Amino acid sequence: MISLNQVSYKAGKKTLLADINLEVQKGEMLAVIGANGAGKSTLMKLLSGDQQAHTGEVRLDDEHIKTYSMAALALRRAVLSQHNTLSVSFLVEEIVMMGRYPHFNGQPSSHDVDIVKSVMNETGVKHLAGRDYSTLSGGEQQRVQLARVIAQIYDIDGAYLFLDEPTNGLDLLYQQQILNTARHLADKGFGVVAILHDINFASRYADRVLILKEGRILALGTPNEVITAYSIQEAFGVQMALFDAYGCKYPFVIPKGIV
Amino acid sequence: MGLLVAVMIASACLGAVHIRLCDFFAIVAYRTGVNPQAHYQPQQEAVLFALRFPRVLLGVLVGAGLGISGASLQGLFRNPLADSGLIGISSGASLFAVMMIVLEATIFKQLQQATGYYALSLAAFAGACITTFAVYRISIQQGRSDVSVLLLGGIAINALAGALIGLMTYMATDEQLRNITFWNLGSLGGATWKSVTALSPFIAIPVVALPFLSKSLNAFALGEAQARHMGVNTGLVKRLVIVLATMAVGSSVAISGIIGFVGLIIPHIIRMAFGADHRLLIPASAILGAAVLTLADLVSRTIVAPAELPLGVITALLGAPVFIYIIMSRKRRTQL
Repeated sequence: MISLNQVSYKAGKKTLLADINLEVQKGEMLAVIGANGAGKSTLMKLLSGDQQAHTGEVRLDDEHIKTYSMAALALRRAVLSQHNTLSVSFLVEEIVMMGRYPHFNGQPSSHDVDIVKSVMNETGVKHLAGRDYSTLSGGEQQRVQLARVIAQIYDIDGAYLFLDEPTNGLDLLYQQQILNTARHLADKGFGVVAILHDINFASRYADRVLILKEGRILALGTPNEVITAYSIQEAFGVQMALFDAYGCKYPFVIPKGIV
Repeated sequence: MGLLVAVMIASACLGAVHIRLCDFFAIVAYRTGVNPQAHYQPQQEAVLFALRFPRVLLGVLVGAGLGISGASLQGLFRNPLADSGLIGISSGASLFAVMMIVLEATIFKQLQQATGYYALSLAAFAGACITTFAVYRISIQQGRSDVSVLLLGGIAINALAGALIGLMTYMATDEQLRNITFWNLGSLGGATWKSVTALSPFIAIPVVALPFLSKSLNAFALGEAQARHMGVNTGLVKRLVIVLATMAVGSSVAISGIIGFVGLIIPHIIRMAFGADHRLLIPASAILGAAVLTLADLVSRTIVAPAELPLGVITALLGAPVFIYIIMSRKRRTQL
């Protein structure tokens, strides 16, 4: 479990996050939504140990997150960042193998090689193994990066996976594939936190949804509890119509107009 | 590796006094005790041991140092155009060497008295360390050094050093100008056993240590934040690469002057041939750097023999077309 207790974070004098209380359980998928600048990425940096909270405390599996070294953290959680550009070109399989770097010195063991193979299978990038990363399409690149971060924690029970807008710029099929993979990992016992822009995807895939507004928690709960016309209007300043579409047990929203 | 040995032997044998291959082996066999009889002229042995060997070894050391530093700095800065010049190593060394030549100030005189022939090298090495440290200090924000600020800092310090070098050049006498020019073009002409021994630890330590950072540098290729997420202690890696590269390049420049293009191009050639994995790239760049520099030195002292062309001229003449070819072929590949 990752827990945030009365956490706040400032950049200069500006408060980016205030009074955050949150618990992320193993085996759940938590979607974080909110307007631009609401503090979603900052929250993820605190959860993943990238930045330290100014007040309050962040605990990872009952230990203060500050007490983990970089190497120890890498064995507890993996992070898929928003922008992944490569400075020099590597092959796809080399990149996925980099996910195993925290696990070996020198040369990878056969266990590492096996994991890389199964992860590439599961994320559907096996056929790209020998390709040069820079020649892939945006959607393929994103799936390769996802394979890399999954490979990092694949054999660690109850590890955490952080996804910062994993579906950005992808078409409908790739979006579904990536969120399906994330959902599947949560079902296997990983704690998954994903920043999403699409409210309907959050509603469809997540166990719980967290709505941030101006650095504070506006709502936190199951999609049915949290996604309401009121909360969306509060968070985004957009009027929404809420549907209970036929055969769909999740709330479904479309914009009506700007408030 | 085989290439390096071949180039080293060729370079030891060729020159104003030619030594045939069989004589070379006869001399080596006698000196190492394999063959108790000496089947050669003593003059050849003198040339080989007093002149050629130190020079070849110096070329190997300097080339390996430049190649390996170039490869690791390009990895660290996530920029295939990075080389030791970018973070002020070379310009700092230049500035101090030029100041030493032109100003002839008291402090330099004292240094000269204390260390004699090596005063210029020491000044250059100190300059390299000072400017690199300044650039690194500029880049630190909240205890973390930011790579893009590091590059900007490098540009600023380079500009400053360039301006001061310009000022020194303006003040210099004709003879000093000639000295400056020669120093800036680089040469292995100052090779002695003493300079080789002095340089070797400064090259040996980076050559042994940098390959241990190759996995971390691979992770850096994904991005600094990504490397951190993968458990790389990015701050430590940055400091180590900068210190080791400054050590290798600063000491090389101090003894042989500025030799351009080797640090920039060698890693590109290796990447084109074997891929970007730093576990291969870093050691291979050291070996190819050593071979290329030894070869370039061979060309520089034989092509207009008995005179010598400045080594920096040769490396740039060979390096620039190769670099253009790399750019063109990469352009063609990405168009497809």
